[in-house]
Amino acid sequence: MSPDTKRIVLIAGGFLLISAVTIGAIGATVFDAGMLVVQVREEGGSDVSIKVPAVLVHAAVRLVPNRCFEEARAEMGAEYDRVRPAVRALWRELEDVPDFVLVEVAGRDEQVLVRKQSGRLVIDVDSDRERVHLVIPLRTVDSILGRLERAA
Amino acid sequence: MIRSVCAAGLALLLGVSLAWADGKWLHIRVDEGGEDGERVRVNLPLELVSEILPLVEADEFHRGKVRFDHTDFDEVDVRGILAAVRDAEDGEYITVEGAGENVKIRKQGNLLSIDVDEDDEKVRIRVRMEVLDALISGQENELDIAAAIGVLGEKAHGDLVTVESDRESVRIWIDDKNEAD
Repeated sequence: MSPDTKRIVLIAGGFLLISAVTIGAIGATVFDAGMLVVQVREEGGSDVSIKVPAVLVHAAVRLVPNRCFEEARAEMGAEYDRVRPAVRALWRELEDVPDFVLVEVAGRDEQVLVRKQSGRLVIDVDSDRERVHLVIPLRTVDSILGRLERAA
Repeated sequence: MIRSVCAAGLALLLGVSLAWADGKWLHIRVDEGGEDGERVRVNLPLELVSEILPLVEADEFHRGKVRFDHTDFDEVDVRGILAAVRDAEDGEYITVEGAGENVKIRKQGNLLSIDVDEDDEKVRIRVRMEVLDALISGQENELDIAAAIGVLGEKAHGDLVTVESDRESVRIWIDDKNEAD
């Protein structure tokens, strides 16, 4: 192999290695942050299905102007300020708790299941009228609550 | 180096798991009677409740304590009653036998038992005395709910409340498992 070919192979190899590591790191970050999932299926009505990587939500939370969070805080009123520390702590503490079923309601017309699973809060509501499936990464909620807090 | 990091990581993971293995869980189970009856299960890690309660601020609820200053309980010395029960000797204290309803309140060692038997309903309440101690450990005119929950997590195990009737069955209990039976 000529020195020029060797150099090209080395540069190409280095480029591939850096690309692979970058893609792997991005994949790991997206996987680690999880997905925000909202699925609503109404009987004879609309179907809504949204799946967003939580890293995008985190980025969006940072990009949203502070004014929006200030308005949200103002709408929540003083009542939110009273429960804010408890709500923030609840989401943070939930991260440390092992996976568990928080609430399970099984009725004739409706089934509700709220569980913590792998760093996410999963909510399933299944009734005659609609079917709802929510997956909320706990860290996503914490970042939104943190931003709300800073908007005070 | 990598081995040491892996070993430390595993030890940390194991430590966290073992710490939670010791954690107590509060379970609530409600089964309505009949074929169409609703079934409700609630599981709460007591440690989580202990952490959150002191942060909740409501009208009469402050830092995990309930104040009785402006409530209907003003006329009743709740702390005094609880203290009297705690200091009393073992025995059956209140027995009410009426038409269709029997009530028995007794203290046995560390346990306060309240049994209510109606024609179509049976209620059983079991409270450890340490929980009552914790409940009245604060200042006057307040009950320390957070402290009581803390003691429940440390000492209590088994049924706290059971209600059995034709209409529904309710069970509230504490154990080490993170799922209801």
